[in-house]
Amino acid sequence: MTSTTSDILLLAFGSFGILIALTVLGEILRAREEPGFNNPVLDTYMTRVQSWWGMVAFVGAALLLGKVGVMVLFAFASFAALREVLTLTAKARADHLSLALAFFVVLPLQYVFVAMEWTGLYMVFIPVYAFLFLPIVSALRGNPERYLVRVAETQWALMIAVFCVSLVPALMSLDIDGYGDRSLLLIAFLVMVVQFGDLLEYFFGRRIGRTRIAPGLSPKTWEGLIMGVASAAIIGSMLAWITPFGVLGAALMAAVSSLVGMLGSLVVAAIKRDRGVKDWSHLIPGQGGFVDQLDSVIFAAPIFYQLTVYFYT
Amino acid sequence: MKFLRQFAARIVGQSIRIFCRAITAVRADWKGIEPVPRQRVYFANHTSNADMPMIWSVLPPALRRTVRPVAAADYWLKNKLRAFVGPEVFNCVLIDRRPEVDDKPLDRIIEALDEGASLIIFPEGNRNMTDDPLLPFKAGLYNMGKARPDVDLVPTWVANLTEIMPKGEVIPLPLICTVTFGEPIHVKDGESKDDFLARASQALLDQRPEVRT
Repeated sequence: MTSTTSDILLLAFGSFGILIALTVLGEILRAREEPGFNNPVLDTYMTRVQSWWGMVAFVGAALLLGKVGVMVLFAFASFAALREVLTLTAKARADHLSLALAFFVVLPLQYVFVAMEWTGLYMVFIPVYAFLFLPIVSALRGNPERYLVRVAETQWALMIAVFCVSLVPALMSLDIDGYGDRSLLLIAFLVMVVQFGDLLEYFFGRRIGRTRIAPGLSPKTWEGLIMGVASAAIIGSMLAWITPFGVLGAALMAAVSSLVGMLGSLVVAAIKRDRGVKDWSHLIPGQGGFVDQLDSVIFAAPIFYQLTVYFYT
Repeated sequence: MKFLRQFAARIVGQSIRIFCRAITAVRADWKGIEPVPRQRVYFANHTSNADMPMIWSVLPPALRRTVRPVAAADYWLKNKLRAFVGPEVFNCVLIDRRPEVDDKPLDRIIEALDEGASLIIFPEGNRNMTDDPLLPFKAGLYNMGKARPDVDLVPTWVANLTEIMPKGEVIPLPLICTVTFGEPIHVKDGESKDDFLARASQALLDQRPEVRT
């Protein structure tokens, strides 16, 4: 067993330990309730914990399978996220071909380029080539009605659902001195600090939150955000042993990723409010859709990727 | 042989269901009713040939076993494959639309209802190719509602299929399809045909999921 594999197993068991604690906590609270009484908050909590079990199992299995597993997992997540966003965006019949190309050509190609570790191409393929080519395909059908809106919304969908998500597995292609093949662990680091940061942001926001960041958009508060980012920094420093960043570097990277992620989920909340929906879909029980679950990772991934490239390669 | 055909019909049915789920992540929104076994007529908007398989796919197994889509014989008996899928997989109530055949469609429908089946029907009669959300309803829904007033008539809206597979396109887009089931309606005492059909049409329109664009 390589040290990377044993570290992944260690992280997986650690996560399972936390999940067992959360599950037992929920079951104890449930057992203490009056028979026949249904507590909706507790039910939501338990459904979420169950979804987390699934997520830890999937991400853990993908990381253990290595590169192929990670690529397949994130390509699938991108596909589900793209479907959720494009279901809600403006489109006309004239866009049918360009949308089909987005799903069946642009998305797979982006992941092929990431798998080939062709950095020069996967960084520009969507923001340059797809963004210029797909509007041409739509324009050729000759329907000018709301053309800019349709094209712009499709591009946003590709940006957040495919480009940003694909930069998570792209972390595997980074060549970091003295880190060797352990760049797989960067994925575990990013996902864990961002997700735990979100969870604690929610917890502290509920407990001590007073000042809303964007009233009318989201219940997120400054107090929750600060505590969430601080918690992410602490968790990041505790996970420093799987990173090439050192303790202080890991704390800073975790804090920045978590902060960008939280602000990103505000952006996603704004899009949802604009479209008048509560969740992106209902594919993950208790959590809404893939975009609801991934929103902070989506925004954190490019920043985390670029900071790692800039400071550590 | 009969057993083999039944087995094949089950396999094909499951494959259709899995296919619908994979392509469109189709999901049911039980807004006005519970997914419990009860005799119902699901009346739905009709924009695509995939409407019926979508509704059929989101019904839980116990409901799916007793539901019979009402469909056109000329479509489902066109070739051997369709003649297998329509009557044996979906267990369709087939209606002969040829003018020279004096086959009373309502009798077939009432017969199926009296056997205890639930039905899926498309009261617009034809696929809606216009930009209007619904075509005017045909009288069939009123007639069956009047003949069997105890049966729940459930408005069932199938969303997004026009975008998933517009007519004339080859590749379906894997967007999310939602099937919304509303509160059941019944023909009221003394209600005229036109009043009822207008009310039924509105009840169906009310199930459209609201998405601002």
